[in-house]
Amino acid sequence: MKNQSYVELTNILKQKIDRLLSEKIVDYMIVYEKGSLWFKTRPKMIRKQTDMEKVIWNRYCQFNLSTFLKSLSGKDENIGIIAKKCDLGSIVELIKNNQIKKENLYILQVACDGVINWQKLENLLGTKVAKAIEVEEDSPNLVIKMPERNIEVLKNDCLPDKCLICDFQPSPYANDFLTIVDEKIEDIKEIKSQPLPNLEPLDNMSYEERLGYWLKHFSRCMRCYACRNVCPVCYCSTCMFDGQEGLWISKESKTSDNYVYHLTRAFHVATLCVECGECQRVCPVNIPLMKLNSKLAKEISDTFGYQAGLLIDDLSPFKTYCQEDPDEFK
Amino acid sequence: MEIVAFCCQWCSYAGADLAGTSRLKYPADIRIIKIPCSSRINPTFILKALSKGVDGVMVAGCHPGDCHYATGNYFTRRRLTILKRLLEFSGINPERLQLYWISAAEGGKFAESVRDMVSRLERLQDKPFPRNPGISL
Amino acid sequence: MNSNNPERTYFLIKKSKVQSLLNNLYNEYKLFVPVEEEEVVDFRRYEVDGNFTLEFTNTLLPPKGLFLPQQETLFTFNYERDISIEEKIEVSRRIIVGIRPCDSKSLTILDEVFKDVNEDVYYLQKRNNTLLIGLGCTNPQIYCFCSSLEIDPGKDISVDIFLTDLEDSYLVSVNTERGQLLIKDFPEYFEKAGEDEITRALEIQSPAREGFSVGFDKKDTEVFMDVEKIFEHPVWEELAETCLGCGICTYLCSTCHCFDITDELTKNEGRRFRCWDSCQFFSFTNMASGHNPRPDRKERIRQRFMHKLSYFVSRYGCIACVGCGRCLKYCPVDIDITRVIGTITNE
Ligand code: SF4
Ligand code: SF4
Ligand code: SF4
Ligand code: SF4
Ligand code: SF4
Ligand code: FES
Repeated sequence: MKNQSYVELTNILKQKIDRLLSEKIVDYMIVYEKGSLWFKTRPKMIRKQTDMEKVIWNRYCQFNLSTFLKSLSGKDENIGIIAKKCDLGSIVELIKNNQIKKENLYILQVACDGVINWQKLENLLGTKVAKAIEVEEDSPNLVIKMPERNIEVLKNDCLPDKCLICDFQPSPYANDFLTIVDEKIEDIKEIKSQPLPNLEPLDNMSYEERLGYWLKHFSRCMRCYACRNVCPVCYCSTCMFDGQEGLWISKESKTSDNYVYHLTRAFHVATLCVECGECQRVCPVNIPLMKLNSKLAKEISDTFGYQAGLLIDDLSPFKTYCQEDPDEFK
Repeated sequence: MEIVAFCCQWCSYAGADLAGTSRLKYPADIRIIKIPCSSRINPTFILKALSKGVDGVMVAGCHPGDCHYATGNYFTRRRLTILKRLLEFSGINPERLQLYWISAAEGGKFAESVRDMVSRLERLQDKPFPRNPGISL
Repeated sequence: MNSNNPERTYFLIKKSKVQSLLNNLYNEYKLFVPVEEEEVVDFRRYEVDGNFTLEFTNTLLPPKGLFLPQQETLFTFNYERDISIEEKIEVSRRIIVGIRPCDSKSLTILDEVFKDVNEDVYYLQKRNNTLLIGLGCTNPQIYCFCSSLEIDPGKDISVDIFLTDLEDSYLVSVNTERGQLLIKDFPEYFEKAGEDEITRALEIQSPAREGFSVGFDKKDTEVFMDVEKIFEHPVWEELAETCLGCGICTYLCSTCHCFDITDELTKNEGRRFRCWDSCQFFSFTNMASGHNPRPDRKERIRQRFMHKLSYFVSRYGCIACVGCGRCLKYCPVDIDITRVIGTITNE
């Protein structure tokens, strides 16, 4: 989308939110505001119409705001939320798993044709990023405006994997869908090749190589728990790794305990994970966590024909069973 | 060889008892942990055991349809099917995790299951989880 | 730590000779150098002819981990018949190559804590055994704001030896006697630097001194000394709404130093270790009784900023932040210390 379209969408968004707040349809609204640097945005809750000018919608709004819909238990407030197509999956899961009631939620879906991952952008630009002023789209490229000259990068190189396979369509669960009629949303899907991330190289390794691959990554984990805390569907009020009673893993970030943590985390959100990619995005040490999640999602879909985040009425395969289930055991 | 066996208290643990009282021989490589039902198994139990470097983990419960809590083991079956795939993907041979259905009357089957587990593990070429994978700098 | 500050001397070393120097130093020292792996640069042990880079912005993890490791065994014990205790103190001589001015400043800040009333031998031993080779910044990151804290990105006299990038060589400024001894041991690598190289170095560094994208006026932080006024400021509530309570900002912080101590026992032996902890975690202040004096994100995020900008200042006379920008760069919800200061002072 062009910069101008983002500006227009932001204006429409502000009008809508203004109405939602003034007519008391929602008590507060979860939105994006401008971040400290030009390629960052940050989540923000607004309750007053006077905060309205902070609302923003642009191509740096990566954050999946639905993570703020978890752990709300007890509070009976009506909440409005800005959601991209991909964020709707986790909202569906939260509703499905009784974390929030649909009637307490007003979902404002905004048109999106891909968000920029600032880490990818930064890797492409290096320290030049400090000098950049603005980014404009010139499909399939992004033009990064610098004081001296402009730099062009392929837009797809700056997008998170999920955007490459996204259909951008309005979700049936959104209360409202904001779009601009005369903007033709580019069809980046053509360029996508196969579901991402690509798990094949790992599938082709020997057990030893694969374990080595993972232990090397897990050895870097510093157990900051950002991957867990940012995850919208990781909603236990007390995590088993924080509990008082059983010390399942040492507080020390030993590689072997990191292995237990990561596989448990991935397994606990299997059937819930909508592959929004937030865990991997926030990990400061670049652990490819999405590979674990995507592998599980694939196995679950192959075995039980279930996909998370699609329909509110679908039953999670771990909450039910079938006598004729595959039984590879004796 | 070291094998951790999680046995449901209503069937498989009683089965192990029967194997004992009937003086059936089976490899002494297992350490039995009693659990209320096979569905009490949290994947972390299995992962924790494997990450300590044990050769294998066996989970044993009532036969499908016979769970004391009616349906617990159906859930176990679903979860462990997927957990095995995850183990495989993380570089642990999925053979290192086995689920057996053993009733309270099947002392013989208990002994046979342990033998089966041991012989499966003996055939494996790959190594279990390293005992000391080092800690991060 | 500096024993003294003799007359500063200047040398030059060719970039092409650095690897061979490192190989030589390897025989006598434990060497830590910046290494790039998976798009992340961090200090790692150097092995002969190993990888290293001196063309990086800054390491992901601050060098504090080399003095206060994320996990560290303090001692092991055994009570077979008698109780025996074995302390684990790192005694080897070490060198860290490529430490940035902000990060070396952070070590002098940490020194205050670890040599306070109780001297922390684990930390101090390592400090005393470690020679620091600093590296000046020519290309600061978009997140850096060291200059707000009066740190000069182009000059660092708290390290033993300081390198300035002169394209095909480094200007080597030697600040301490220890540094001079090291240069004397390897005369074949160093040549005397002339006046013009020293002036050139100043020119090259000057871009680093300007043009930071974020920052604040250090004077503005004085309002934080009025604890009563700031303690109930609405900004804490606002930050708590989006803070995820993860450990990124404190674990990656150059100056955060909180740790937890635990015993691990098996049968007759065990060990006591310490590992990093963070005031952003619920369990940090949770007591055995179940009471938690910092029960919510609001109290916890307030603690982080108040400790850095107020409590630490009243105790040690300096702000516990060096403007390395790590928290700002990696916070998932873009909570930014410079903005927090701005919000409070702009009223
Ligand atoms: S996945 Fe789709 S909706 Fe989500 S950020 Fe990417 S393009 Fe937008
Ligand atoms: S975000 Fe990364 S470093 Fe933090 S706990 Fe998760 S994997 Fe480990
Ligand atoms: S508070 Fe942030 S900028 Fe300051 S020293 Fe810590 S990580 Fe660096
Ligand atoms: S800010 Fe928090 S983690 Fe950092 S030193 Fe202070 S109390 Fe410790
Ligand atoms: S890094 Fe950000 S989200 Fe995480 S605890 Fe710190 S301020 Fe909160
Ligand atoms: S009680 Fe035996 S499996 Fe449930």
